[in-house]
Amino acid sequence: MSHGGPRPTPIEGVRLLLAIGVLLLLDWTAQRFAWLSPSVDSTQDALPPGSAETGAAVGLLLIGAWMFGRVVETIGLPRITGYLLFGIGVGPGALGLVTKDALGSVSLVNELAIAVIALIAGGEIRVRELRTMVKPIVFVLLGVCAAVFVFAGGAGAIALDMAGAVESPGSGAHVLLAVAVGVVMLTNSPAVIVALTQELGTQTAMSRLALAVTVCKDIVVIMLFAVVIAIGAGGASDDGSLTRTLAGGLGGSILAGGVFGLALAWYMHSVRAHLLIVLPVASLGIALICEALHLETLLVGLIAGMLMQNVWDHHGEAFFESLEDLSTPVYCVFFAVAGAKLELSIIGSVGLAALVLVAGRLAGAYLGVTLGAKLAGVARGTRAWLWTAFAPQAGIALALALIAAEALGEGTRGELVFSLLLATIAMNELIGPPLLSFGLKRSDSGTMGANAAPDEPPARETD
Amino acid sequence: MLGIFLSTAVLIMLALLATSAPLYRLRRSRPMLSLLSGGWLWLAAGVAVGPFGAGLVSEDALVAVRPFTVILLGWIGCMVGLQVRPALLEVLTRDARRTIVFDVVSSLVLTSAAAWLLIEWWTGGASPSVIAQASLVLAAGACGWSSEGRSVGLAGGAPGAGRARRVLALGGLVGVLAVAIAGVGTGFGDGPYGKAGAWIGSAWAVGVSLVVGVCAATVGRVALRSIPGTGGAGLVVFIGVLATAAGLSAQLGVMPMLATLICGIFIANTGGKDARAYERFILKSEHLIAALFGIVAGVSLSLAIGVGGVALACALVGVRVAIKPIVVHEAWRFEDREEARRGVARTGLAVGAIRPSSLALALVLGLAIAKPSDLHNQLIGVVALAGLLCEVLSIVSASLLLRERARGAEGAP
Repeated sequence: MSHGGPRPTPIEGVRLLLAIGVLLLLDWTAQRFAWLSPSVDSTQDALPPGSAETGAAVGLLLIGAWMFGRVVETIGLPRITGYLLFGIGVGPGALGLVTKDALGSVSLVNELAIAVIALIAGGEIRVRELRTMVKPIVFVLLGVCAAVFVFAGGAGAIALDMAGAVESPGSGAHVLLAVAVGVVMLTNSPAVIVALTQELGTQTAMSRLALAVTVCKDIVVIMLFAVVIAIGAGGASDDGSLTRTLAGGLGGSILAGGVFGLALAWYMHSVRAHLLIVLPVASLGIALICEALHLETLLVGLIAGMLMQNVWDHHGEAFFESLEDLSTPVYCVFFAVAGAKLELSIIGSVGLAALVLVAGRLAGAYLGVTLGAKLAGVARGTRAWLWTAFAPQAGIALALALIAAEALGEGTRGELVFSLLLATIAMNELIGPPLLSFGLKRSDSGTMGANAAPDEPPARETD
Repeated sequence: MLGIFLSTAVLIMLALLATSAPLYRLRRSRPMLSLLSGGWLWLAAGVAVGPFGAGLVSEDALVAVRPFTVILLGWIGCMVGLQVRPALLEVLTRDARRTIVFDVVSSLVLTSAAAWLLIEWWTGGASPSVIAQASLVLAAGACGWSSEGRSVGLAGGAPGAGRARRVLALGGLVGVLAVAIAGVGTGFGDGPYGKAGAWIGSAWAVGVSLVVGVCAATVGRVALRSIPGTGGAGLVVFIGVLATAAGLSAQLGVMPMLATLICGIFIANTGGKDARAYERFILKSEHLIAALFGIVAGVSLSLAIGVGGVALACALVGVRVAIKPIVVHEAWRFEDREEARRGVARTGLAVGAIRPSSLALALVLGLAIAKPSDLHNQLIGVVALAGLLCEVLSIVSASLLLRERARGAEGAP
C-alpha cells in the first residue's frame, strides 16, 4: 500500500511553497514583533524558557515539514529529505524560528518517535519470511560489518588526523579512536528504511533484507561499542561485570519487549478504542520506561512489534494500520527536529575530514554488502542497490557519538571528535535518504535466497 | 521525564475510562447520575490526581504538558467555530437571534458587574485590568447553557420536548459569541497604556487572533487539498493547523481559542468538501477530548478559593437562576405562542437552562493559559463550583417539579 499517494503536480508544489511562505512569515512576524504584545512579558516570565513557544514550534514542524516533504517530492526526492531540510531551515542554525529551548521541549516527541519506529520495524519482520532469509542476513551482516569497520576505521584514522583530533598520529590512542569511529560508522538508520518503504509503498526483497540486517547489526554494534568504550576507559575488568551489564541490558530489553507486546495485545483484544491516542502514549511509555531502566528502546519496541505481527497477528492489522497513520506526524517531527539540531557551522569547520569519512564508509558499505549478498546468492536486482540502505544515519549514530565524546572527557579533543562525527552523520543524514530512495526504486521487487536465481537480470521497477 | 509521562498516562487512562461503554450506561440510568456526564466526573478525577489531591500529577508536569493543553483548547475553539456555517445560520429565525442577543447582553451586564465587585473585594487590590479580564471571561462563560436535556425531564417522549431541545441547542450557538467575548476580554486593559488605552490589549487580541486564525486556516486549506487520502496526513494537517494557531496565540499572550475559533469559521465557510473531512476528523475524538479537557481543568484548578471565591461562585449561580428562566421563557414564547401557554416542557427547560455550558470552564482555563497566575487558577475552581451548584440545583428542581406535576395529573378527574 502506498503511504504517500500520487506525486504532487508542479502547480500543487508551487501552491504548497506559497503556503509554507505564509506559515514562515507568520511565525517570523510573531517572533520579531512579540515585544509589541502588551502582555507577552508577564506570560513568558511565568513559564520556563521555551515553554511558551513549544505549541507553535510543534505546529510549524508538523505542517511545515509535511508540506515541504510534498514539495521536494515534485522533484523526485524522498519526503523525509524535505522534512530534514525544513528542519535545518527553521532551526536555530538558520532562520531560528524554532529556538534551542523549544527544541528541548519537543524532545518528548523524539522519544516517542523512536518507539513508534521500532514498533513499525518489528511489524515489518515476519518470522516465516525471515526463516528463508537467514543465509543472506548472516552473509550481508558479516560483509557490511567487516568492510565498513575496516574502510570507515581507516578513513577515520585519516580524518581524525586531518581534523587535528589526535596528538601523536599512529599512537595507540589514535588507533583506539579510529576503532571507535569505525564502530559508530557501522550504524545506519532503521527509521529511514521504514519511513522510505512506507513512503514508496513498496515492500521489496531489498527493503526486507536491509531492515533485517540493520536490526541485527544495531544489536551487534551496541554491544561492540560498549566493549570499545569500556576498553578505552580502562573499565574492562575481569570480573565479568561488562558481560553481565550487556546480558542484563539485552535480556531485560527482550523481556520488556515481551511484556509490552502482551499489554498491547491485551488492549487490542479487550478495548481496541481510541488507538490514535493510546498508541502514542504507549510508545512514549516504552521509550521513557526504557530510559529509566537502561534498556534499548529500539530492541524493546522491535520485540513488541514482532510479537504483535507474528504471535498475536489477528489483532495486528488494526494495530499496524493505526501505527501507520501515526507514523506520518511522527516522521515529520522526528526528522524535522533532527534537521533543526544540525549545526551547519560544524560541517564547515571539519567538512573535508568528514567527507573522507563519508567516502570511506560508503565504499565499505558498497563492497561489504555486494560481496556478502553475492556469496549468499541474493538476486542481482536486489544486491545491486542493497548497499544504499546502509548509507543513511540518524539517531543511534548520534547517540553513540555523544557517548564517545563523553568518554573522551571535556576538552578540545573530545569536541573535535564529536564535531567530526556530527558532521559525518549530518552528511550521511542528508545524502542517505535520496540515495536509498533511488536504490529502492531501482531494486528488484522479487524474492531472494535459495529459490532466487543468483544472477537473474533486474526485474521491473517497483514504482 | 518518566514522572511527567506517568502523570499524562494517568490522565489518558482516566479519559479512556470516562468514555467507556459501562460508564455511559451508568450515566443514563438515573437523572442525578448525569452528574457523571458533562465533564463533572472527569473534573473530579482531575482534582483527585492533581496537586490538590493525591499529587500524582505535579505542577511541573502541568507546565510540561502546557503545549498539549494549548492544543486541546485550540481543538475546542475549532469545534465551536466549525458550527458557524451558512446553512446552519440560515435556519436561525429572527426570534432565535433575538433570544441569543437577549441572553448574551443580560448575562454580560449582570455577571460582569457582580464579578467585578466580588473580585475586587476578594483580591483586595488587584489591578483594574486583572479584574476586568477575569470579569469579562466569567461573563462570557455565563452566556448560553448546557444542551443536555434528559436529566431535567426533556427526554424524547415529553410533550414539547423537541421544541425544548431546539431552544437548548441555541445555547450551544451562543458559545461562538462567548469565545469571542472571552478572547476580547482576555486582552482588556493589558500593557502600560493606562486608562485611555484599555482597549489596546483587546484590539491586539482580536488582531492577532484574526491574522493567526485566517493564515493558519489558509495554510490548512492548501494542505488539505494536497492530502493524498491517508489518515496520517490528515492528522498532520489537523494537529499542525491547531497547534500553529493556538500555539502562536498563547505565545503572544492571547487566548488560544479565539484564533482557532476564527480558523474553524474560515474553514467551515471556505473549505467545501475539505471542510467536511476536517470536521469529521475533529468530531471523531470529541468525547475523548471532552474527557481529557475535564481532567486537565480539574488538575489545573485551585481549591484554595476562600470565602471570596465561594461568594463569587454563589453570585454566578444567583445570576443564572435570576436570568436564565426569563431567557428561555422568551425563547419559548418566540418558538410557539400557543404552546407557551401550556408550559408543558417549559418548566424542565427553565431549570435546565440554569446549568452552564462546559465552555465556561474552557474559557477560564484559556485565560489561565494565556495569563498564568494563581488568581486565574482559583477562577477555574470558582467556575467549577458554580457549575456544580447549578447542576445540582437544576436536577433537584426538575425532579421536584416533575413529581408535583405527576401528582397533579393523578389527582385530576
